Amino acid sequence: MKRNRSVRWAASGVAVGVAAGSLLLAMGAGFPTRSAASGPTIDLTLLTFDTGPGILEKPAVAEFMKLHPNIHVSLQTSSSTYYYTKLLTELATGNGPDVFLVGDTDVPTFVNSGVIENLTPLFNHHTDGLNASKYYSNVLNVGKLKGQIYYIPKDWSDEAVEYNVSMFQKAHLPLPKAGWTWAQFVKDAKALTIVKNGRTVQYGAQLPGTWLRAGLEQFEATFGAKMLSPNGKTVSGYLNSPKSIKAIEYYLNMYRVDHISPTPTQMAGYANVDLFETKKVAMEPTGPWGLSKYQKVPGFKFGVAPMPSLTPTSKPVTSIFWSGWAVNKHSAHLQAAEELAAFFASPWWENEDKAYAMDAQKGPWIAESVKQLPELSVYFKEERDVTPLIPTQTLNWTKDVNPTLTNLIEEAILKPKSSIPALVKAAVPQIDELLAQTYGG
Amino acid sequence: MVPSALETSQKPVRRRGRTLQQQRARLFWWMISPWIFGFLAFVLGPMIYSGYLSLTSWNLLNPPKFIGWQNYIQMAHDPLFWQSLKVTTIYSLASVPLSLAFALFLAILLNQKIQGLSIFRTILYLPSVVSGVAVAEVFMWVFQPQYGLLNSLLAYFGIHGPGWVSSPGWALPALILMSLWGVGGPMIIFLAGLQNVSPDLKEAAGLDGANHFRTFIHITLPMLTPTILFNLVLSIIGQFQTFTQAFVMTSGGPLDSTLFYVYYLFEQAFEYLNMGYAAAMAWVLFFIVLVLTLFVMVSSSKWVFYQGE
Repeated sequence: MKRNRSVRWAASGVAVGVAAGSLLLAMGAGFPTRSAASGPTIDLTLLTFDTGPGILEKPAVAEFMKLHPNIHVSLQTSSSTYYYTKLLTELATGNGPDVFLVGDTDVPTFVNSGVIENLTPLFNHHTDGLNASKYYSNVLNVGKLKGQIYYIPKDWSDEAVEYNVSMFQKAHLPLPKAGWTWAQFVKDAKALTIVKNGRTVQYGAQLPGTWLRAGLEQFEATFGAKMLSPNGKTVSGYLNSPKSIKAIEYYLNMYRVDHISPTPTQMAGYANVDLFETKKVAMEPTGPWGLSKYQKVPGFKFGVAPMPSLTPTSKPVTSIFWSGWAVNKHSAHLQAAEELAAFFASPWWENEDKAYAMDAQKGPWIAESVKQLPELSVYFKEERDVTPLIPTQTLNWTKDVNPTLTNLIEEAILKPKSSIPALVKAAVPQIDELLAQTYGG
Repeated sequence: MVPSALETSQKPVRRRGRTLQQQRARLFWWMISPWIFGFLAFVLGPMIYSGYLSLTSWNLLNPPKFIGWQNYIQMAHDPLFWQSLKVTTIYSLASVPLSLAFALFLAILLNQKIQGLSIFRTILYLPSVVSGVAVAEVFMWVFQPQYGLLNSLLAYFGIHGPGWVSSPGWALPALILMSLWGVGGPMIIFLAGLQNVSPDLKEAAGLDGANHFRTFIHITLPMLTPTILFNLVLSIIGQFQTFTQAFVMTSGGPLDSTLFYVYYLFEQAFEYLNMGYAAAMAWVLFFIVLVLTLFVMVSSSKWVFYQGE
């Protein structure tokens, strides 16, 4: 009797298991599958964070498949917020995409962990136009480590100052132009900042806050300082050098003393609202991403000036923003994956991409882009002067350097009476300890 | 000898050769079997594997390297680990009682016999079915210092509102306040609990001269303690896993003032590529929640009243 009950219990368990299993199978059966016999022979996956739904990659993939009927490409897109979570999880479980996009800061991570293919041989032997000399050298160099090319640049941009023409005219200020200085920038921004009843209703500028590439890194280079040693293993003697501290003070005092910009925490409160477009700020040092959007705003008169320089005789410094295609070393179809990555260097891609970003290769596309959007010309002029990326000079910038510097900026701004040299002094050993852990020192 | 009425009532009721208790046990296993199947198939394996991962150094891109207890030792010396634990503990200490009290208050209101009750119930439950990310985005604007709803409201009364999530001192209180938005779940459970309280008991208390307040304190509340226990355990587990607010609204700032434990764990895993360390943090959290749950369950014998007892 007891045995019978056990058998019934076991049968019940199995029944539940089978039911649940059937449910899962039924759910699985709902997904579309392609017949291996009738479909292409090679399946590739492409992962991108660019333009969210893959507005440009979608036709690119279609075009690639037209040229390569034996290859089927599944396009995966993810917003930049969740991109690395998705990519890293897929790679960790052995289901990584064959080709994927990587942002500039993460260039060394994927190279040093050995998960992506060295593309130098592809550049040397590709027969269909993949040629290093066609690229802007500073743009190609971002994806190069130890003399080897690991990434095919997708596109790039640099930094310039976008300004609201109407606000300048209303304040009777001359428009910014090439050769202007940071002192002039601050003076103009102060004049353009409007406070009513104790509330700032218009800011002279929107500074990049804790976005190190556009802010602190840019100022370090402007002042001729370096925050990291050439071997990437320490910030001691670099971040706390007199030049570096001067650069950090100059940048942060625009918030602390001059009050020309909303602070980083205030910016967070605006929840992704474009303050330049909504006419809350008069100037913004940034990339060209918003230009085509601003062009469509009725009555919005805006201009673009090169980055200011430190003195009237010194050269302005501008940072580079970049992304590039990597090929998964463990792809089951490495050759096909390389072919797909190389497609993003084809004239077809460069021609289509020009409407969305700044092309990585030299060619007629720049002139065509500028024709459509004249303000872009300022950005294109400065390719040769872009500052080499600091994050690519160390193994794990995101973990070792970024958090401490972000906190330093936040603390200096939230506590305006704090001493910047003291904050830097405290930050140096913290960063060095993390760098030592990374380098096993 | 004829058995007394009491003895008769205590005799197990048998149906088709099984006692009621056996039937109930069988029903219990039937009802819980999908969860057991899901747990065995999808949770147990990853749990055991994460235990192993917590003893490794793993950057997700290369194979894990066994390092023994090093992640746990490193945790003890990590100021941000302690900061995240502090933030989460303060948040839980404040938001668990606050949200339970608020949920109970709303449930009592919704237990009144008034017109349009189902509409009120729907309206008050609705916020808890809205996605956490959407809620966080909305609250970014509620807390916006210059143009936000809350500070605009305070300005009507001549009060200059704080920076809320932009201020290190106010960011955590703002998120505690925001946690009240999601009380719909416990509210419904409280409502079910309130409707289970026998009207006979309340009526008897009324006949004995107890007013509404004394009836609530001496009848309703004790009868509701199993529901409070259930909501308390779920709330503790839920609040210790707070993530979305930090991820969407504050990124753990300003100055780590909203660095929630799970958000820091996520940062370690996917931003700093320390998956081994993140797995160790997950296990520490598991034990913290386990100890707290056990404490509540053990203490429940002193304050939870079951009707059948």
